Amino acid sequence: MGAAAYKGDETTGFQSPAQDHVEAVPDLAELLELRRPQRYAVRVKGEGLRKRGIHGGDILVVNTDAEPRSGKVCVAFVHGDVVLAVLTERDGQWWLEPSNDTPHPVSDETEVWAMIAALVRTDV
Amino acid sequence: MFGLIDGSNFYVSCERAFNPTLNGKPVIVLSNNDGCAIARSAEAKALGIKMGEVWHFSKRKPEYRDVIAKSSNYALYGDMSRRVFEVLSDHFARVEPYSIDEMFLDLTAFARVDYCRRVRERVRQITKIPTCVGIGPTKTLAKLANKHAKMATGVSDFSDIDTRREAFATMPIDEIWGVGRANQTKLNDLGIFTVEQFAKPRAQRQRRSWKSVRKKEFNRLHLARTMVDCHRPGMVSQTIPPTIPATVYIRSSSEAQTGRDSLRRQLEAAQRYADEHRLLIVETIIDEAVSAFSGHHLTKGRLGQFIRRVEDRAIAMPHVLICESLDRLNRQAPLDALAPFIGLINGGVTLVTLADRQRFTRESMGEDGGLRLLGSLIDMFRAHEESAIKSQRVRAAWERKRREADVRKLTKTCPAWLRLTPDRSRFEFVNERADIVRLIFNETALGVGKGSIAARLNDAGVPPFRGKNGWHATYIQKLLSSDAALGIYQPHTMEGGRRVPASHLLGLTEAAAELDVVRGQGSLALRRFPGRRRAP
Repeated sequence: MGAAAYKGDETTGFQSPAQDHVEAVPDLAELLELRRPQRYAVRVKGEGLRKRGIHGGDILVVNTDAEPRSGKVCVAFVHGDVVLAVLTERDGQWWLEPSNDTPHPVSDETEVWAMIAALVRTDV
Repeated sequence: MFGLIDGSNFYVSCERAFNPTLNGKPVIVLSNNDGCAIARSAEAKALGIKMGEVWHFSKRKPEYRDVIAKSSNYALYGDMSRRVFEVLSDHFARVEPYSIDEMFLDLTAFARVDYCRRVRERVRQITKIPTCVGIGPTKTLAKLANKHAKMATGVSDFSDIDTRREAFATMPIDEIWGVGRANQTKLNDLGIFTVEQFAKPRAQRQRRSWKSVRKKEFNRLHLARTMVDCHRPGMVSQTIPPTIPATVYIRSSSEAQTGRDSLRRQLEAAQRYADEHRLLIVETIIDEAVSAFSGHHLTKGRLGQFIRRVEDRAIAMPHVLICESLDRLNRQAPLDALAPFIGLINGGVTLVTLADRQRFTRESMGEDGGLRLLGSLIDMFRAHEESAIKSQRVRAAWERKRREADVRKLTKTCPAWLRLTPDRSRFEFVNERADIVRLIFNETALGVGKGSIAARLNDAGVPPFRGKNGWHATYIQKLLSSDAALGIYQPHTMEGGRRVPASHLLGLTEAAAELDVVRGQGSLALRRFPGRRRAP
């Protein structure tokens, strides 16, 4: 079919009073800044961070260029695993707190991969 | 100055970006259908896995036991390449992708090594891809420096002569862009092994022995050598491009305009401006025969594509759009004209008009409280009005000419065997030429071929109507198939972009009646015997 985009300016009967007010469909890629190189979309497996409002199946938009902040959720590499963890700072030492594991100090063995920037839930 | 940045073991690095279990292990990426190894991590290279090694032959070797082989995932690599490109575009005025993992950078305006190190870290942070940067006054040298960077600290600057000299002493010649395996063997036979030897063949004797390399290859190698050995100052300055990329927009609304001066004039003026302001023209958009009056160039023409690319942020800023004047950009009704104009400015484009040497940028528009914006609006309004008036006038003029066609002929243009009488009231014969036309038609009717007619005319020394190269079958064909000899000239008007025949035929009728040619018979004969046929 390939329907043309509706602009409201080609009515056959009456001129649409909304003609000059028709807006484009909201562009989520734009809103979530998915076109920027530091933004990655990742899907959550498991319910570990439910207490932070992150459910299994959610899509997280993460930012690899964001400042690490204490108390924020991040994607991290811990001993070869990719995990969601809460990043915390205590007395100058940074810790990664995965939901199902003991806290790990941020060191050469671990890597903060990206900070969570936005969340998209498709099955509410 | 050029830079070449490339992702180290790019496909493997892309896989590693998302999979920490691959770090520190020998990893290879296989080609389509898992055939050959096409990317190898440093660990895999150390094990001796060759580029292109057929994996199902060698995977059972005991030393390859721990190798992790990944199928290729081009969607991922393409996306990562985009991310690298975009990070680079935020830092350099011009980024030129050379392959999926290599991009040339325009380093003219940047403090080189430190800046490149910073950018390299940014790329690593954002895309997780490790990279190396080579810097050089030519692309060949930048590529060579990039090879050197892999062995050194990640960034090598070959614009520095000492660095270059030191590196050249040990680099093998096959690292040079343009020297392949075949040439390498030949050059090795001549005793040339290092880049240093290649760049400066010391003795005349050596130079002579180069001649054993085939001519074509010699030229190619010579070029490669010039690019490597750029000590001459002229060479260097020629290879340094200006800083800011620019697009030239040229619109010609009719063929007559395009064919003549307008196009050339606009191009020259743009080039002059670019030279004066150190802009590099990266693209020239020519919208031929698209009218800006109706706005077609925005919907159909290539300016529309350019505006969309600006909106999609597909064009790295800063970017300059050069056009002759605002009316070149647009002659639509001013309100419609404003939207694309604002779109371009808002997208970060600097718009330059050559006629009045104005620069429009987002910043400059705000400077004087919108006064300049008002000025541009007035310009556009004037352009639209002019167009409307011109369009009206031209149409009226031709109407009048057609009405008077029987009295005054429209134009001097007519078939070669006619000419316009001095009072412009009618066409008359050029007698000797009319005879030739009659002859051609008669011969054809008798079944003589076009080639034979041309040959006979040439043999008889008959001068052609045009040019100096004698008669040719194609011209005879044109004459025979043209309606002009029958006296038909069909004027057209343009309606809604289509050619529509005007109400009446004009022009040559009386002249044709006099010519009295038998076109019907002629073409009949042509059709019946399409092959070669001589007169009986």
